[in-house]
Amino acid sequence: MDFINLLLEPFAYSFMQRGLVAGIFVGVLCAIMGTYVVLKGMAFMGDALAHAIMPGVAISYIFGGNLFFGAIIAAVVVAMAIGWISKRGSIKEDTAIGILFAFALSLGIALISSMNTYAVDLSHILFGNILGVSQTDLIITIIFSIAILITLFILYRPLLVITFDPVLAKTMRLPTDLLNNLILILLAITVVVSLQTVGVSLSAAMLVTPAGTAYLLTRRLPSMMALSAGLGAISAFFGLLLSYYLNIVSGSAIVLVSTMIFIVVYVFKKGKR
Amino acid sequence: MPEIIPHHLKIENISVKYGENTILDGVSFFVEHGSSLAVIGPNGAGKSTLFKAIVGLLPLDSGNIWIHDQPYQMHKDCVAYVPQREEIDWKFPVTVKDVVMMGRYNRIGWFSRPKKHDYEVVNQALEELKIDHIANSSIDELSGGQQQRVFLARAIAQEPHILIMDEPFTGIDTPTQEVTFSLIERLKTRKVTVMISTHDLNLAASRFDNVLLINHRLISVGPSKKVLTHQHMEMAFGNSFLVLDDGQMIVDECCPDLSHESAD
Repeated sequence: MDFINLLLEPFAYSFMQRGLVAGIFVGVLCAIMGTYVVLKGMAFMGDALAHAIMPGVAISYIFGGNLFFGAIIAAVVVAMAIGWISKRGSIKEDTAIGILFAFALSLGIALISSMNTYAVDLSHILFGNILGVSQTDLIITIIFSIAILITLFILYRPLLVITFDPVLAKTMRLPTDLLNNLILILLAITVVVSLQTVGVSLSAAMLVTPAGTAYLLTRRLPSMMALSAGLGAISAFFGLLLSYYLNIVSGSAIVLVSTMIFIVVYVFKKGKR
Repeated sequence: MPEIIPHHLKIENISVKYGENTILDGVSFFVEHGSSLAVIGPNGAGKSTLFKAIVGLLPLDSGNIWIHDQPYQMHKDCVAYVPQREEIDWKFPVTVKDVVMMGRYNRIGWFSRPKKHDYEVVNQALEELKIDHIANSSIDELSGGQQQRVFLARAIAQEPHILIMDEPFTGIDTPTQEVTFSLIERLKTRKVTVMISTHDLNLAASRFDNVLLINHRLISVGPSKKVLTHQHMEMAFGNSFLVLDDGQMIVDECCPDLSHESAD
C-alpha cells in the first residue's frame, strides 16, 4: 500500500469522514480563539471553563435535555461568576478560577457518578468521542464554529485593542467590560463545541498549544491566527490517523500531534523571543 | 473644528480615592487650549492619578472635568494618552505600524477598514517621530526610546486636542528626548494642549508655558517663576527640600524610586 493510500484509506468510512470534518472545524476554532487565550494569559481560565461545563452536561444527561445547551449554560454561568468575583477585588482572579473550577468539576463528577453508565460517559466527556459524531452533532459544530469565527472577524479591531492595550481601549471609550465578558462567552461556547471531538480535558490543550506554537513563529496577529488555525487543522487530521492505526483515543492523539509540533518548533526556533 | 466652542480643559474640584486613601483632594485648575503644562511634585503626589482621571481610566470621587465646556465622557478622540512604558506587553505580535494605526480606530469606525487618508496620517506620524524605517518591525525589537516614539506616533495619529504623557523623559536616550521636545513645539503651533509629568524641575521650568505643583492637593499652578517659590516647594517636598545660603533650592526627591527604575 503506498503512502497516499495510507493517509486516505481510513476516511473511506463515513464515521471517519464526519470525525475528520468535526475535528478540523474544532481544531481551527480552538486555534483561533486560542490566540486570545495565549495573548491574554488566560490558559488557566480556558482549562477551568472546560471543566466547568461538567455539571451542565451531567444535568442534561440525567434529565434527557440537550447536552449542548446544558454545557453552554454551565460554562457561561461559571465564566460570569469568575469575572464577577475577581472584579470585586477581594481575591485574585486565579484563586477565584481555582475555587470555581474545582467546585464545578466535583459537582459534575458527583452527578455523573450517580448514573449507571458512569465510566463510559465520563470518559466520553473527558476525552471526546470523535468517531461517534452524528450528522446532527456535525451540523451543530459547523454552525457554532462559523458563528464564532464571524464574530471574531467582525470584532477584530476592538478585541485587538483590549487585548494589547486595555488602557487605550478605555481612553477610547470602548465598552471594555462588555468585550471581556464576550471573550469569556465565546471561549465557553468554543469549549462546548469541542466537547464531542477532543473532550473536556483536551480542549484546553487545543486552545493553547497551536496558538502557543504560532506565537513563536509570527510577528502579527493575523498571521498568528492563520498559522494557529493551520496547525489546529493539521493536528486534527494526523491525530485522527494516529488514532485509527494505533487504536488510541482520538482526542489524546490530536493533542499529542499538536504538542509534537510545538516541541519541534520550540527546539529548532532560535532568536527572536 | 467648530470655533464657537471655547477650547480649554477645566478641572473642577476633583477628588480621587484608592480604597480609603485620598490621592487627589479637591484639585481645580484650568488649561488654555494650545498651551503646555508640566506637572511636578514628590513621588506618590498623585501626578499619574491626575492624568488617569483626566483620560477616564479612574473614576472621580467628586468634582467634574470639562473639555471644551463639555463633560469629558463625551470625548472619544480628543485626549490622547501616552502611558508609562512598563504598562505594555512588548512581546505582543504587532508591528510598529499596527500600533500607530490603533490611534486611528475611533475615526475609522471600529468595524470598517482603514482608508487611504488613515494610512497617510500613520505614515506622517511615523516620519514625524523618525521611526518610519522601522515601521514593519515587531515591537519587541525596539529600544526604550523607540518604544516611546511608537506610542507618541500613535497619539499623534489620533489627532488629539490634548496630549497627556506620563513621565515621557524618564529613562530615555537624548535623541528621543529631543524628538519629543520638538514634537511638543510643533504641536503647540497646531494648537494642541500638551500635559506631561516629570521629576526634572529644570526641564519643567524651562521648556513649558506653565508648571503645576501638586502633593495630593494643588499647591500652585502658573508660570514657573510664580510656582517655584521657597514657600510652595516647602509645602510640596517638606523635608526633602533645602535652601542653600546663596538662594539655590535643592530637592532631594528628584528621581523616581528604584522599583520604578528597575522596570525600565
